[in-house]
Amino acid sequence: MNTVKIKDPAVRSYFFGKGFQDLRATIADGGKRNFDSAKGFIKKAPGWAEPMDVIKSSIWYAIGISILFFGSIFYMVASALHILLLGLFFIAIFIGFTGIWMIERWYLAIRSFFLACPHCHANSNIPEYFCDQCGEIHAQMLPNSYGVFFHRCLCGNKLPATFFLDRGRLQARCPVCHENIAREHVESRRIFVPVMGGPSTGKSAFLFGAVRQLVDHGVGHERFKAKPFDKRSEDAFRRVESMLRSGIPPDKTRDPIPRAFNLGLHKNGRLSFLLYLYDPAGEAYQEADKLSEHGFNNYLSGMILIVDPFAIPSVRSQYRTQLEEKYGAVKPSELSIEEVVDRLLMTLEADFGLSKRGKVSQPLAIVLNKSDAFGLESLIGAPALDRVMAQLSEKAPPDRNEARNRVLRNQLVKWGEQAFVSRIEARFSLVSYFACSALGRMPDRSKVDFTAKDVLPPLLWIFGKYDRANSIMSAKLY
Amino acid sequence: MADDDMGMVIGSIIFLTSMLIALSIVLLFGAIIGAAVGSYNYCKAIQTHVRLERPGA
Repeated sequence: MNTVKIKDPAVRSYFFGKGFQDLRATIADGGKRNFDSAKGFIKKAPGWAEPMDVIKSSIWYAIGISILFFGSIFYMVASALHILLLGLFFIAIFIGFTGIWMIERWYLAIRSFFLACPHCHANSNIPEYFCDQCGEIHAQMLPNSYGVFFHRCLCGNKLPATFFLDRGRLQARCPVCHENIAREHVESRRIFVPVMGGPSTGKSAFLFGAVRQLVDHGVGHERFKAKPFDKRSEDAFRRVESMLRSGIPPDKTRDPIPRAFNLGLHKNGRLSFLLYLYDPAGEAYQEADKLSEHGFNNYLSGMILIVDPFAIPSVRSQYRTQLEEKYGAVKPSELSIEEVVDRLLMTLEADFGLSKRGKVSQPLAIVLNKSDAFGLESLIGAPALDRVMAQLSEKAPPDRNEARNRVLRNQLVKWGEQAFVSRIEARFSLVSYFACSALGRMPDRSKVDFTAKDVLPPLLWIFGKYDRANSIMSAKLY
Repeated sequence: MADDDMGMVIGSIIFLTSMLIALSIVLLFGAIIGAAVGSYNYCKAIQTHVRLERPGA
C-alpha cells in the first residue's frame, strides 16, 4: 500500500520512528536511574557496629529497598503507559494517513489525475516534488509516516502532502526521466492520442494540419480556444506552420519514441483539456521493440491510424502510370497497412496487457490520407459520400457518419484489404473510417500554402468518445 | 492463672497491632519514597531522551 520504501529528506512522524527509539532509551535509562538511586541510598548506611548506626543503616536500607521495590513498580506502570500512549498515537496517525491516502487515491482516480510524462511517457500516481525552499526531491509526497497532511522537509519547510492542500503548487519532476513536469501533466483532464502509421503515410502533416486548424479556428459548440501548451510544443508548431505556409511539407519525423505534442483547449481563459498528440517515426512500426517503448499505450484515449492508399498493392497497380510521374510528390509508403496493425497488436499483447483474443476498447480512427491524389477524392472523399447519401435518403434519413464508414470500409475491401478490415474489426471495439488530405494538395514547387482538408473529424470523433459531456465535439464531423 | 493468660493475650494483640501499624507506616513511607524517586527518575529519563526533531528551527 502506501508503505514508505524510499527515504525522503523529510522528518518522519515522531510516532513512527524516533518515538520508539526514545521509548527504548527512556525505559532503559529509567530502570538504571532507579537502580542507581537505590544503590546510592544503601551506600549511605554507616554500618552495623553501634546501636545508632544500626538504626540509621536500617533506615537507609529501607529507603533503598523501597526505591528498588516501589520505584520498580512505578517504573513498570509508567513504561506501560508510555508504550500505550505511543501505540495509540501510532494507530491514530496510521488510520489517519491511510484514510486520507485512500480518499485522495479515490478522488484522483475518478478525475483521472495521474502523472503522464510527456517526455518519457512513464505513468505513475504522483510525480516527485521539489521542496520550494531548498530544492530537495521528495519522492513520496503522500499522506504517510512522514505526515498526514504536511511533510516537513529537512530544511524545516512545511510541504503539503495531499492534493487537497494544493500539493500541485510545488514544482514536480518525472520519477523516471527526471524531466520537470508542469502541474497540468498531473492535475488536468487529458486526452492521449497517438497518430500511427508506416513511414511516409503523412502522420506529421496530419497532426500539424489538424493542430493548425484547431489553433486557427477553435473547436466545438462552446468554442474552445486551442494553443500549444508549452514552449517546446509552441516552437514545434510555429516551425511546421511556417513550413506549411511556404508550401514545404513537414520534415520527416526521426524519433521513434516521440515526445508528446501538447495542445491546451481553453474555455473562458481556463485550461479545460490538455491534448497529448504523439507522432512517432513510421519506422517504429517496422520494429516491434521500438513500439514497446511507446509507454503512452498504457493510457490511451484513442488512436489514429493513418493509411496511405498507395501502400495498398491494388491501388499502386491501378495508379502505376500516374505514380511513375509523381512518385516524389506522392511518396507512397513502403510498409503495408497489415504489417503496421500486426506489429501494433503484437506490442499491445506483449507489453501492454492485451489478451490474445482481447479487444482494444479505445476508439480507433482509420484515416485514409492523400485523398487529393489522382482523383481518389471521387472514391473516398466527399463526392463518394454524397452519392451514397443520395441513395440512402431515398429510404430513410441517412446518418452521415454511418454512410462515410460504409463508403470507406467498402472501398478498402474493394482494394483487396478484406483481411485488414476484418482484423481491425475483430480486435478493436470501436472503429470509424475517415478520409483526408493532410496537405490539401500534392507537394510541388509552387510555395503555395498547404491547407489540410478533413483532418479534424477523426480527432473530434475521439475527443467526443472521451468527453462524455460531448462538449468538445462538433455535431457535424464530416 | 486465667488473669495471666488474659494479660498475655491482650499484650500479644497490642504488640502485634503496634507492629502491624509500624510496618504499615514503614511500607507507606516506603511506597511514597519509592514512587517519588521512581517518578523523578522516569521524568529525568524522559527529559534526557525525548526530543522532537525540529529541523531548521
